[in-house]
Amino acid sequence: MANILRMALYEFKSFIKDKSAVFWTIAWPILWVFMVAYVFMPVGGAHMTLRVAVIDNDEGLPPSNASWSIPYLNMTVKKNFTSLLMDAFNRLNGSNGTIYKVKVLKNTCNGNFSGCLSVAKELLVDRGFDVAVIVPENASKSLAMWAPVRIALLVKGAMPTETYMRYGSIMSVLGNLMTNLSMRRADAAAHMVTSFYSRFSGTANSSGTRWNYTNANISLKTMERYIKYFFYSIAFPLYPKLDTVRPPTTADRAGQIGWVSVGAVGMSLMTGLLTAGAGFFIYRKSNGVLKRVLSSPATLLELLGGDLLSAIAITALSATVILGTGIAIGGRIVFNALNPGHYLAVALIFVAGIFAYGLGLLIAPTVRSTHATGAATAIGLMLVFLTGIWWPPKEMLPTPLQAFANVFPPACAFEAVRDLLVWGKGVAQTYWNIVIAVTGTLTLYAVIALIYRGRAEKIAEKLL
Amino acid sequence: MTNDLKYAIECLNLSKKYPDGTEAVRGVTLRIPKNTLTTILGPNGAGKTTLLNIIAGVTPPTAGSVRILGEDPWASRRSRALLGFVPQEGGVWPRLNVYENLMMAAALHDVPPGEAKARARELIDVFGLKDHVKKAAAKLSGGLRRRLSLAMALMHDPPIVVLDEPTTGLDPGIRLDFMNLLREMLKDGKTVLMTTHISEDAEFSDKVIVMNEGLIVAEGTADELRLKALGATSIVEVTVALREHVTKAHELLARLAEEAYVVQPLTIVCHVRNPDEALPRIFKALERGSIDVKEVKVRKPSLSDVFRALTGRSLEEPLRGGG
Repeated sequence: MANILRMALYEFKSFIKDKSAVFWTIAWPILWVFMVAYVFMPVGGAHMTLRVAVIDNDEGLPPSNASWSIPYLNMTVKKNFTSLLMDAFNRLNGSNGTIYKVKVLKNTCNGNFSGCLSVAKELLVDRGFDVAVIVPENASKSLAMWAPVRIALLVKGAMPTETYMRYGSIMSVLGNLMTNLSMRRADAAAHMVTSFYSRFSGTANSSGTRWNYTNANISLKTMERYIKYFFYSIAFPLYPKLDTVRPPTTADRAGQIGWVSVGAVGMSLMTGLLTAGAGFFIYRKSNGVLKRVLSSPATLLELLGGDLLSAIAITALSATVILGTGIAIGGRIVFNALNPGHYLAVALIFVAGIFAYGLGLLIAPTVRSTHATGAATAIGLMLVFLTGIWWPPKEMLPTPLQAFANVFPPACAFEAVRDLLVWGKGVAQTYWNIVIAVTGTLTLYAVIALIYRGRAEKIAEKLL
Repeated sequence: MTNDLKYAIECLNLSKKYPDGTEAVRGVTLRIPKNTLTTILGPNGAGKTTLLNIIAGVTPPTAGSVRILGEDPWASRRSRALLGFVPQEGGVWPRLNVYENLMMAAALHDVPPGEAKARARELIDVFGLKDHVKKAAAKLSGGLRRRLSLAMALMHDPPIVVLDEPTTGLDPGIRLDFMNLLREMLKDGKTVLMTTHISEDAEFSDKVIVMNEGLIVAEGTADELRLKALGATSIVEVTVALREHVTKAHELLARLAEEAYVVQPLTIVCHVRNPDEALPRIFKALERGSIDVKEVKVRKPSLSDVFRALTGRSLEEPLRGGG
């Protein structure tokens, strides 16, 4: 055992003298923590910028001396449609986490709809706009006549989620405008009905029946209010109140950085140690060290033990530095020396590291050149992205990948570490993650033992 | 028990066949006497490295047996402590410094730390590595790296040291120093077995084993091999001035020498038993034949000539397969 420890010490020294290994295992994940913390999660909260092009063909409000009457025009429409739309953008700017950058383009397509459509598409595809709103020539006139305004909306999105987000954002502006217009129309309608009563009360209609408003208990003013509410209820049969509840992964900046820092440790181990395991034979073959070991009384399994202990030391170093960086830039990673669950979290980081190394050992017999170990790095990277160890969080993954992440031991280990150190949960709340991480790692090493037992030297010889 | 043995290394009918069908070693039997420097000489691909790997416990033989001071390294790993191995590739951890490499070698052989430190200091002195102790192995010159590799093989003070092509790629001066270092080790009672394809290095040996295509072709001291292979003690190299004289000169010289052959476009090599008697006859024949001679050299035959005579091949020409 003593010689294994000494081998581990020198293997570890060899690792820390390898600048590229140190970069990939420590510096690179730290770089990611900084990038995610300051680029994707800016201080003060994230804002989505929506660039909106309004293709305005509106001819404006009809003149007040128009041949047809516009009932209560002043009560319903005082501005043309585009001005009202801009008011809505201004009301919402910044309030729902979106900054609308709106550009109104006049006389770009002469009111021709297909022409406007082409212009709108060009604006989205070539000129960096996210949303285009085509306002027809009769928009304000329709408003004035209490008719629906038929606008066209184009939303750019490379992926469905992106499209939905932009659509939701622009619809919140249009919803605000619709609410505003509906209320104005309801007010005007109520006023109109009440005026009708007051004007025709006591007069006979065409069939000789007399209108007579005699209910002394309800004044006309009260009646107008009742009618107004009635119209409101038609305009807004539902009035949902929106309140957002964010999952812990995005709830607050401290939690986000904590989450990302733990993920960065995962990335470091899944790339660095997986590659170290995969290169166990080939790194030693290329400089003759493998031959020296095989010719010595030390067995390959002893060397492997030393290398594994060195991998654990690397894990400790990498995790300490990365989590320390996360804490330093405001991440919430809490280690309470009196909480046994937190020691368990530390142990789980080692479990994940040992698993990653083991995964590398599984492919080590097939690795025939030092260049081929790059494939191990690629596998490690794929795994951190596909199992929620890094980004995106597990809950954002497609269902089949979520199912895989739910049983992938390192993903479970890091889920448990986040639960314990970042979200402050108890062991009982992340029990299954711990069970899967530990049993999965033990199973992997049972498989490795089956492959290597009595055959390690033969595997090595094949690679010589 | 091991002190009573005559041979440090004994191999009986050793064979090695790789899964791809290559038969690198074919029924080799050899005995390396204790406290000698023995060289296995052969071109690249002759099977030297495979043979050494089997002896060093790196590659198992397909058939036959190996005994290191009477012990089978393939039966007990502990018996491998009797041997220090210097692989062709160096076998040094490139990022560790000289001292750390020595300590790593000690760990492989389970040398207690205190003893290892003292031994490392001693070897650093002996091998002239004092000024490079903190230098990473990758940054050492080729010669220093070979010294380090040899020092690592000696960390556990084995009675036998086995080196695979230790001088390949080194400058002549450094090669000479290294070979002298190996001879110095004999004074400490060590047995040294090495492989090489450089005939000059084999001259330093007490015994040379010539290997070709997985077989031992001949063995003995360098002079024994010269006589055995060439039947001659000297070589006369005649270089003619004109290409059209080569064939005629070769015909004339073949009648006078034990053997004559063309090695370069204009040079004919002749093996002669006694150069004092042979040279006047050679000059006379060339004069009679009106051969325009550019240069005549007389030298002792090299082990490279011996190899050529034994196998019909050049030592510098690599063989396919083997190892």
